[in-house]
Amino acid sequence: MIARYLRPMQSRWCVEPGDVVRCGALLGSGRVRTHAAFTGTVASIDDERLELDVAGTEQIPSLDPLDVHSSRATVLERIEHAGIVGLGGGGFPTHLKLAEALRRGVDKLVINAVECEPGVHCDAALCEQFEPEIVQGIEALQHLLDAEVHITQGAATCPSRQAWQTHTLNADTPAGAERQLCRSIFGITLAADERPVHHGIVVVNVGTAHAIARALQGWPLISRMVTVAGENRWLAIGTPISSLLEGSSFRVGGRLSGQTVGGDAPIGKTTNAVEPAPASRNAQPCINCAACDVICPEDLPVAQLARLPRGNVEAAQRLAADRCIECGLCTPVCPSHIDVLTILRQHRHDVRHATTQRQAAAAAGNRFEAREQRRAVQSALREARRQERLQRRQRNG
Amino acid sequence: MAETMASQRAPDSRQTMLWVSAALLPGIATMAALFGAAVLLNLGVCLVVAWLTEAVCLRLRHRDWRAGLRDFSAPVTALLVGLAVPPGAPIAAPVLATVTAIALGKHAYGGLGQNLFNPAMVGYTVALVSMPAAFALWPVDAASGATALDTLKHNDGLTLAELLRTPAFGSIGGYGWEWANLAFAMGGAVLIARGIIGWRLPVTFLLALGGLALAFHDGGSSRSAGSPLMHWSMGSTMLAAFFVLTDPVTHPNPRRAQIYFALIAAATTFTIRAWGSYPDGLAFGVLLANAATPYLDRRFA
Repeated sequence: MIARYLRPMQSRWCVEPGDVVRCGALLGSGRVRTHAAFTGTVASIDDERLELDVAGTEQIPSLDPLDVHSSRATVLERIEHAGIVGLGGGGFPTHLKLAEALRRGVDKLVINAVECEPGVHCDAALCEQFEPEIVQGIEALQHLLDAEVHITQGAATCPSRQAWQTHTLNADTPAGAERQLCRSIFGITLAADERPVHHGIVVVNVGTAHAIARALQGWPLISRMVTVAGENRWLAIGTPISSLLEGSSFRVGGRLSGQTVGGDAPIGKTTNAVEPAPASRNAQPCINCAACDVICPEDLPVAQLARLPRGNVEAAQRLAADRCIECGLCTPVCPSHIDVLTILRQHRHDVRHATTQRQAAAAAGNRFEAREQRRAVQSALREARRQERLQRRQRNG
Repeated sequence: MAETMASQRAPDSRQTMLWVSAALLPGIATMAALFGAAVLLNLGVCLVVAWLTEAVCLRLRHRDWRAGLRDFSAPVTALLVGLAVPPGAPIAAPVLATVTAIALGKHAYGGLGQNLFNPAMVGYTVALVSMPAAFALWPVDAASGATALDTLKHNDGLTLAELLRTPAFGSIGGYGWEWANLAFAMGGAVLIARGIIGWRLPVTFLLALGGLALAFHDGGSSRSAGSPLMHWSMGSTMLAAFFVLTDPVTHPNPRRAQIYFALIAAATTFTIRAWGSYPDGLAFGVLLANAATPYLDRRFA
């Protein structure tokens, strides 16, 4: 079996083809660490992915156990070293999220167990099977952030304690998205450029809390719960989907916001569900009926975005494509069977990419200016010292 | 709920078009009762010509014409054109209007969903300005005569009450037209109830038209441009309000933009009805409002 790992953004591989790795070994580091979930030989590496020829599937914890009451820095470092990312689907590095929460200060910790997507039940299974670990993970987070705990749950029941507030929500898509949670629990409507942390809130998926508890026990993030065609399974990250399901393409994620991937795609850290890919439907022209506009929970001009040719980044930005939360409600309501979500994802990606590049360019410009200033100050100082020496020499001479 | 949302099929574009056609039926029946079988003949001609034009255009554009015909958008255009052309007009009138609607109004812009203007109104307007004589006369009480709108405009010496007694008028609006308008409004109400069209656009349009009529009613004197009730029940007011303005392709989506859109259509319609030289201003009102759609979409997005 060939296990595959995708290189996370701003991270690099730290093994070579031919290296023999044990389960839990570090494969990649940087912004997010990647660990081998199997014992085997690194078969090939390219910029995007690493292939591991699996020899053994037995998993062992590769880190030392850590006390829950260790210092904040130690716990944060462990979360980073375990390669934990948001398992709800966002995939944002958890140590960065928590570090920002600590820096800004938060007073509300939301543990999110709302699964609003049809076809995804992995968190429900997790809550049922791993109650002690989840409680331990939540306690570790509470200790780290010193915040009031709010549990949000939908159909399934999340482990809870007396001191924690439990909110049972109607799990209609996109009830589990963090912007929607802030509104439904605290009545806070986030502005377009705001995140929950700006209001003293941090939202952590229940699976992520579980992964944190496991990290403290010594496990890097090498397994997760995945709903495989309706059935919940605890799977090693990197497992090829083709070893679980028949077919040449699969849908990863829920039935609304999922994406179709090729036959060689693996289970990734954020893969919450896999299913055989749905039959593609023939799209008809958009008749601008605005069904997508009406259903959009973020009130985006979806119809205009869906009709916008790709590459018109300026217009996509003006239409706020980067505010799309990718809930996927727009696709099933389209009477012309257009895959609206995919179009929106492309626009969102283009806008975010352009924004990052602009920021990088601005930062580079600032660095250049700062360096020029430093140089000017240095040369002025040098000149002053030279003049001083000259004068001294003249006086002495 | 989330489960049902994903499994629930959204109404097909095709089903939508079928519903729109079905909602036109009461209006068509009323018109046929008023003006005779010529109404149905017009509709038949328009349907056949629209179907042929659609097929030819799709072929010329190297599209799958069999698949293209299945979306049922051409028949809806054909029905709207057929209802706008006076029965008894020479057959060239509906043919010219339909060919123009499908070929120039829709396919020249890149086909379904890409057109800037309502195709039916493009076709109607081109035919109207090309052969004005054919459009001036609607059969009144078995004899050809001027329409209520014409009579109203060209009889400055008479008060409204006197005008209403001329044969061009029925009890409220044009002869028999109040019934046709009522039937179209009923069809429109069905579409709103089914969620196929929104209520905001037609209601704003009708309120604006009524408001303008009220402002220029002038107490029903000889200079009056007609009462609100008269304007609501004259010409194709309800047909335009519920079936033409609400064409999703050519109206803006943001709510506030729809208000301005309806205001433009109403103001243009009323201006032409009251002081223009054409029998009715609806088509021009719709087209002018259509032209504003890209701006309105952009402005209020």
